[in-house]
Amino acid sequence: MQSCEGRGEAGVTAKLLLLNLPTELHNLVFNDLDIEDVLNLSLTNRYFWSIGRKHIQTYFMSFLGPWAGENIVCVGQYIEAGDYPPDMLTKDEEHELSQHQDENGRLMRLFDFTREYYEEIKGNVSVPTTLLGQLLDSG
Amino acid sequence: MATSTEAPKTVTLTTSDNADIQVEREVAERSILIKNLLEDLGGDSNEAIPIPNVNEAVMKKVLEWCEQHRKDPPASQDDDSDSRKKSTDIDEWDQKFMQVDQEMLFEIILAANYLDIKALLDVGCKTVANMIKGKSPDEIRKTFNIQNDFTPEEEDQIRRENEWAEDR
Repeated sequence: MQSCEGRGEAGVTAKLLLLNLPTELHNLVFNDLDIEDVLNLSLTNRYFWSIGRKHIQTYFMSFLGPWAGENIVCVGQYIEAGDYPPDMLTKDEEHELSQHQDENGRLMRLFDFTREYYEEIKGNVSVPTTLLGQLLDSG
Repeated sequence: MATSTEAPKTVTLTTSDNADIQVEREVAERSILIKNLLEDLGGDSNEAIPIPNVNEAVMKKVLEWCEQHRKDPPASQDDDSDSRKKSTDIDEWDQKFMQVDQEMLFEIILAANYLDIKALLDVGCKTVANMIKGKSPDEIRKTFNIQNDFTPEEEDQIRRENEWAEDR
């Protein structure tokens, strides 16, 4: 019909605004933002806060349980060389392990190997606990 | 594969404002919605395809994008996770294409969503994201005409709880 009319400057009230997009599309925009911008958009009004807090929550969750879904093996000094579950290491890793021998020419034990060649994982993010607590409560 | 030398197949799209637009089938099929419709209709139907959610002006703009990107490889399913991640790089042609007023930008996004043209939807959302980046909440409100409906107390509280994000 005469939708061209609404397209001009005259039809201010009928104008399509960011807010008029469906929530699924707002979520896509949020996905394209870094956390600072997620926060700033969330702070513009109640609606965006209600959408944005889920993205903020997801951001926090990414710091929790970074090992979830990973296989974890606990090694102690008592574990002998070559003693680990089959297929735990990739071919490359096994090769790497076999390259290293201790001073007596024996294969390295997993325990020493990890200490020598891998770094400790440290949590380098201090999670703001008050906000996190609230988000978890409201989740 | 199209090995014949005859003229490329075209289809007719009828927009919400009853305009008929003729377009090459390959171009129209950037829209998964249209592609599926055409497949359902079977090979060589000459029926016009109604697109009741998109008007002529927007459809033409969308088809302009489809024309430019007609040879792009179809998006792979696992595109979602990594390549999309936070990268708001938009190629030059698309950037120019997206230099439209806000209303048209949102119309394009809505149309891309409805017509199921993922790459165009992506570009649209990234364009909006780029308009948000680096702005304060107040600047964002001004840019997009958003009414602040927080009470001053609420705003203060939220701000205090989120100070962490400012000195990252």
